[in-house]
Amino acid sequence: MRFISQIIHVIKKKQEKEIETEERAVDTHKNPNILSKSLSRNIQSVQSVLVNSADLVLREFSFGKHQDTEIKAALFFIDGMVNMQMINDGIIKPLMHDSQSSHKKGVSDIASLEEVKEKLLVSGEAKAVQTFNDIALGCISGNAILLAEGFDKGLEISVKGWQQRAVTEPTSETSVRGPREGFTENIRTNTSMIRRKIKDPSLKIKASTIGKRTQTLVNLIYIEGLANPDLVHEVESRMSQIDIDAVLATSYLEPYIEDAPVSVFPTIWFSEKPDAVAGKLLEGRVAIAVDGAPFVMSMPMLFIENFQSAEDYIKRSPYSTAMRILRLIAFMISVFMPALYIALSTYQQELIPTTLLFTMAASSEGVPFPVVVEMALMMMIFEILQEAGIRMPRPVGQTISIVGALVMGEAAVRAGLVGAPVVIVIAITAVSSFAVPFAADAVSLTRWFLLIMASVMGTYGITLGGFILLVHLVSIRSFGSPYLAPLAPFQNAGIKDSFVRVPLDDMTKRPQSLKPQDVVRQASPPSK
Amino acid sequence: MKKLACSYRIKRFYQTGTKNRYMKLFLLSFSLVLCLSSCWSQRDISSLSIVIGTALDATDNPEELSLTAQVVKPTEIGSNSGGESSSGGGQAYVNITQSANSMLPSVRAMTHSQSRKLYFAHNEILIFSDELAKTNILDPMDPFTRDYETRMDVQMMISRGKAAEILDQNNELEKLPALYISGMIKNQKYNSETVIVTLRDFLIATLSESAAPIAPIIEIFEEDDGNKLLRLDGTAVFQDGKMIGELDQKETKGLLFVLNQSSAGVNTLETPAGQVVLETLSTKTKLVPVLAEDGNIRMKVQIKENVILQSNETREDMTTLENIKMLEELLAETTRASIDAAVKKAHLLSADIFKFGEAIYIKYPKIWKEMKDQWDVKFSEVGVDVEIDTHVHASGGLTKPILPGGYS
Repeated sequence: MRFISQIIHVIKKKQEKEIETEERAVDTHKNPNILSKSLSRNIQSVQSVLVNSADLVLREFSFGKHQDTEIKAALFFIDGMVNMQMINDGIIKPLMHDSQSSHKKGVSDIASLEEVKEKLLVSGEAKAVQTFNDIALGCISGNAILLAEGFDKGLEISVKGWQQRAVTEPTSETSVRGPREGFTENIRTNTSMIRRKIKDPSLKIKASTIGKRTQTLVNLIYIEGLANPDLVHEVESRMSQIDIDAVLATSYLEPYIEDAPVSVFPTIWFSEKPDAVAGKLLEGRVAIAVDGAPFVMSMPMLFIENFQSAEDYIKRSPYSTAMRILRLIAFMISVFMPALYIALSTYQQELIPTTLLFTMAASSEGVPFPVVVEMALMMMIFEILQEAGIRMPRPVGQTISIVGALVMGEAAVRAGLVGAPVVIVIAITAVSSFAVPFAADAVSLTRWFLLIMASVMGTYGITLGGFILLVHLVSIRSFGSPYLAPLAPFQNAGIKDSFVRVPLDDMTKRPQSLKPQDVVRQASPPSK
Repeated sequence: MKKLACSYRIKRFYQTGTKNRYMKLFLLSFSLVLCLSSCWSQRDISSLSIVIGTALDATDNPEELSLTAQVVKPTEIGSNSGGESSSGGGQAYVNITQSANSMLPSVRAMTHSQSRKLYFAHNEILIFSDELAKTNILDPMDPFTRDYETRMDVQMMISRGKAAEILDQNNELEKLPALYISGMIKNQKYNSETVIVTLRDFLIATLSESAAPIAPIIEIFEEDDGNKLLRLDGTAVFQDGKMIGELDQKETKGLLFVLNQSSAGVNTLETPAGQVVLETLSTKTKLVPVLAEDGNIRMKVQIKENVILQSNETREDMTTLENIKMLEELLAETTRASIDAAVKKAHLLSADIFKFGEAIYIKYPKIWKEMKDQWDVKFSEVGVDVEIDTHVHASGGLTKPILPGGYS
């Protein structure tokens, strides 16, 4: 709940400076932004700042005594963003009830709101506010504002409390043996989950607000003394240059801080799992959490991270290695398979085994379209089906998969509209691309690129396209780290956690490509 | 530190400004390049006639030859054919014949009568009729070695009688005669009585200074009940691009021993007690040219033959030392007989089918230089000494013969 106050803190720093300079120049009473001693005027001003806010609640009451007269007071808050129980028990009850009772000594005469804060309020956090801007900001952040007759200051009392999602199992990454908790939309819950994983005072969480209108809290998380300070500085400076209207998800920040925003390959990694993010931090990476987003970004991101999964470190090393190699094969299949099929069946038929050629020839017999058109058509239909399946409500999604499977797979082949091998190739390609979920978007576009190359130039086109792809991958850098590290350039500590995953006790050093300050992860294992 | 900071500088792709313009230009010119190639040499499978066997025959006109191509009908082969549900039963191939003065003209002449272009990359066999082979085999062979679409590892053979008829011999197991023949050729390594020759082997032997090219002979064999079968029988021997003679099966066996190509096979031996069959596990042959004192070269053929006892049709225990020795001697004798027969025939034809010339060239290059011009004559004078080392390794699961009533 403290995060809103952090926002305010940041904004306030600026405003305090402004106020100080203003106070020196202008008379306080003439500045419309500063509270006056008249309650009714203050109420009016607050209402005029937050005009057309149907959820603004004004509670008027009176309490205590000052110079023997009851003090009239007003409480502002936004309905739905506050905990009503805290308002009743922590503000209204102590003020209206306790201040009258005799056993509360020293509050018979209330000279300043400081006294109210110190002696009467039952609240974890409260501070004085002087301007209507602060009051408005306090209200919309979920705080209650107490104004009283005769005082030119208000009290901002923290009573935040709104509906939020509980910590649940992440849906995008499921784990069999690993931790099951996933990030929520609340940034404090998220950072607390990371803190619970890394109980190290040098885990630093730096706050800033980004978004002119959304005023979204963004936290930069890293481990001091481990992450390269230059990297932290670079991320900070890129973040400070962001000039954006709204930040509604982590991806809003990505294009601003990414190295290659137009590339199909992601250069910023994200996860829904606190344990995965903690692992990245412990390798010397920097994480960014955004309030309202159940994903946390981590950077730099290397190509190899597309193939890594949090589950790899939980399974035994030989199995993890096999799975990583399998994912690489799946990646290759999903990128190259349709293009290879096209190249072989329209240019280099001599490379097809003779009997397979007969089968392919038999299935292409009577098909009305050239195989390239057939393949492009089926790939497009697959992409449409996939898109429709994701976007539609779940019950409808099932219908789509049935229609897709039956109409595409069965009926189209039987009607002789497409050849069976094409459907098989598309199916294998689609299934393979789901084995590398992180790169699935990149894969689907790359596949099209290679398909065009293959349909124009055959296997030569695939070689050329693959070469262009490789050159592109090698040229990308993510926050100073070469994207293809530790493969190119070859780095022996990083290679232990690439397409092979050695046992954890052998991973004595952190990946060099991240240039961590603290290179040694752990002592070498005693010789076995 | 400064170096590090430098490496962290933002390097963004496709930045605005001049870089962006270059990128646009690059993409534009790249897409134009794609247009330029315009799907050059693209062809759909359905536009091809897949040729899997080729036969070449002589015609009445000595200037012309007739080319028969066996083309696959894919819908008849695929059991799960996608398009029209053709319920099989039909012939899975078509033999197309065209006469012209060379291979390419005849292939192109076929386009006058065919809807699809012949595609030779999957051609498995190449049959020349003996009539054609006896006049000239090099000219019709040339385009098959020169063209990029045809393959050099195509199985080559000579037919007794018309080659086109060979391609029309149906087999119950295979739907395509060409695949039947190529499977048959691959099967020959289990008997080591037929040479397996690809177009490449034939070409290499033709281009060699000394060696005489060889090729297996295929024929249609009529059984007593009138049933026609294909059979591989013997070896054709070439000299100067012409077929000059034949080896029979026994001679071919000897030839394969000398060529170190005898891999497996069975040897039936007649022992005094009855018939014994030995199976060859492996043979290894070394050709050692020896310069005799009189200046003549003799060829020492060292053969190591490993066999196992495959069938004992006698009532005697063949695993005793004496019997094993007897078997080894008998085996050496039959091997020697086949080699002698082959050498005799080769000398008669004065064709170096054993590649003796190459062995001499490797060991005595200077002497070879002197004799290579008269090699045709000299070859017949090269004496051959055969040294055979046979070894019976095992007697199978049984050691003793099967005796009714047991051994006691």
